[in-house]
Amino acid sequence: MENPIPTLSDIAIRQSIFYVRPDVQFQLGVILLCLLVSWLLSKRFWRWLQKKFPLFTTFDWRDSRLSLREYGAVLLQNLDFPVIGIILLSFSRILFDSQDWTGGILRVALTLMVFYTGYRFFLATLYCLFPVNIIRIYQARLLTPLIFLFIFLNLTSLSGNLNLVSQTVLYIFYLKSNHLHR
Amino acid sequence: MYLTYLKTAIFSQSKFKNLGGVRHDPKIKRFFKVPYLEKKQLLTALKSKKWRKLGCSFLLVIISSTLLNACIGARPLHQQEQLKGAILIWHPYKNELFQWINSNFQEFQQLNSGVNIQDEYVPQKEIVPRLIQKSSQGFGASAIIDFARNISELLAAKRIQPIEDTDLDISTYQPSVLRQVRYQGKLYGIPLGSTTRVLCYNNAKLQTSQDPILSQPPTSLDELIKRAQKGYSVGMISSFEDTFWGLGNFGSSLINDQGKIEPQLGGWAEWIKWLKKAIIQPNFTLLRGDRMVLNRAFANGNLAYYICNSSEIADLKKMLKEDLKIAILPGQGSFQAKPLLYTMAIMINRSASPNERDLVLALAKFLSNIEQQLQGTVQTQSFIPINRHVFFDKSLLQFESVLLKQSETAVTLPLDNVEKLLPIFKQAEPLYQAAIAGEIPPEEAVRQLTLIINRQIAQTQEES
Repeated sequence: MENPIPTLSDIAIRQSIFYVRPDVQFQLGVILLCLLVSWLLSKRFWRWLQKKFPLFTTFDWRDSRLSLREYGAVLLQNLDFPVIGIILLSFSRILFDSQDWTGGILRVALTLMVFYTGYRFFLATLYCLFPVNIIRIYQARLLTPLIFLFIFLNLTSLSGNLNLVSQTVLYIFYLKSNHLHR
Repeated sequence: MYLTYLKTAIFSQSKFKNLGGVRHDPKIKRFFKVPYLEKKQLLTALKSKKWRKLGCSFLLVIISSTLLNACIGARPLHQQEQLKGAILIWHPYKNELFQWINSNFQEFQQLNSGVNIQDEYVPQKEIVPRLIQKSSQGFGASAIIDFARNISELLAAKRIQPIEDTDLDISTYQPSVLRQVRYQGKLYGIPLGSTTRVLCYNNAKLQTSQDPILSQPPTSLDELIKRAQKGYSVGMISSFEDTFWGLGNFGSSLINDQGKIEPQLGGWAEWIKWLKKAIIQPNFTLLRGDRMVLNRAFANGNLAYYICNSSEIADLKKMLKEDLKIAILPGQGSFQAKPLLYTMAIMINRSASPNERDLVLALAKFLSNIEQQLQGTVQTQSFIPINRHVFFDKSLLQFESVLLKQSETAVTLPLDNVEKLLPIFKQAEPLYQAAIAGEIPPEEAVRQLTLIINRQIAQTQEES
């Protein structure tokens, strides 16, 4: 038996059921806290690096490949936030598991953070291998939208049935196009 | 727009000290109507401690309020004067049974206008794994409707909430049914209805004959064989669980009246011998595999007799209409058939909020009250009511009277023993198939099964 295609209000009601749950809110709050703390720590770390090693952290922004020294600095700067994020999320996951709290979203966030780390590493390596201006074009037009789409699809599939949601969108387009033809 | 400009300015350039070789985009200057600040001034302004502190404080307020709300959200239960909110129910019902459960949901929503029930069909084999997966993240249905025996799997994964005895009036439920949802003294599900195996037969195929023996359904196994010999086809599913009802016909049992595992399997060998004799009869089909094959064959009029599950009755009635009749399973001598009793229950997701829990409890109480149980039995004629105060005129509801009579000899699997019994059933299946196929003698199958059961009991005693 196939379920009927849900309306947009049905989807909205289902999302409202999920996001009001204490388990979901608690996990999301912890994830946001971890991301915020990671971001602050990464900023602090980079500022410390700039003071301690000013030559190492200086870049010459030009339309060519980065040198190895600059690559090292770019790598550090790109990976500090996601790596700290992975560490904090891992500690949170261990805490949740030890207390037998619901922590599935944390695991998904951890997985996505690992993917994001891989993406940042890949991006920094591209800066080393190819001219910066070319990479920045591809980053803006292809890589960044792709990674965000990947994260968005993963988050959407968490709470709902992505197939049903896509059918709803297609169904609405179908109805509207029929209406226009008349 | 100004924020977009700020983001572009900060995130694209601020990480790098030397900005040589980059020109300011004149389009941005034209687009924004605010005075164009020098980048250095802008960056200096935003890098100031004051802005950073404000930004961090704002984010901390949002995060802590979310966390606080999550903690405060775990309120103890309270009586609600008016029910309000939305719940999502996953169920395995389709066709006629779905019509019945859907009408119940609609009626509940009409009586409680602030309640919205979202229901979703999930195939029965997928309900439990899907709930375990989604609930571990905090998502998933507010509650599921599934067989009570699956509570043990959900309990092992710790994905359902216990139900206090004070949340329900447990005196309204049949004691045998409560045993199927109670684990170590706590309730984990609310029963909605029970089903069992019965003998379905197509009266139209029998009326064509003048043989007086066919005017009544078979009451013994020998009579069933005779009908097959006379050309009236019989269909049965061949598995240990599906033929469990035959154990009682030869004085055997697996569970005693108190629900404890006490194997007396001497008669199982005789039952297997009878099945082997039946297979070689013309028009007797013992099919291993999908029940739907026999269901369709019976619905299309290709079978005269079919050992069916009572949950199939509603759909079969739609196809066969007045030709469909049911009878209790045939016994043998002074012994009666003892089929398993399957109970459907509603189980609450561990991640459900307190309001969802209240709504599900109210819905479950509504579905198990006398009026709804009576309406369900009349409408579907498929399940045995779990409310002990449901009475009806047996002469008017013949299907229900047969189901009630069969339930008197039916065997319930207590939830406390399900985690021991299900592995026994799983290990018994290859022994049964080997005995039916003639690979091992039935007596050897009995001996090995008894060993398996004793080992299981000993293992459980060691663990406890």
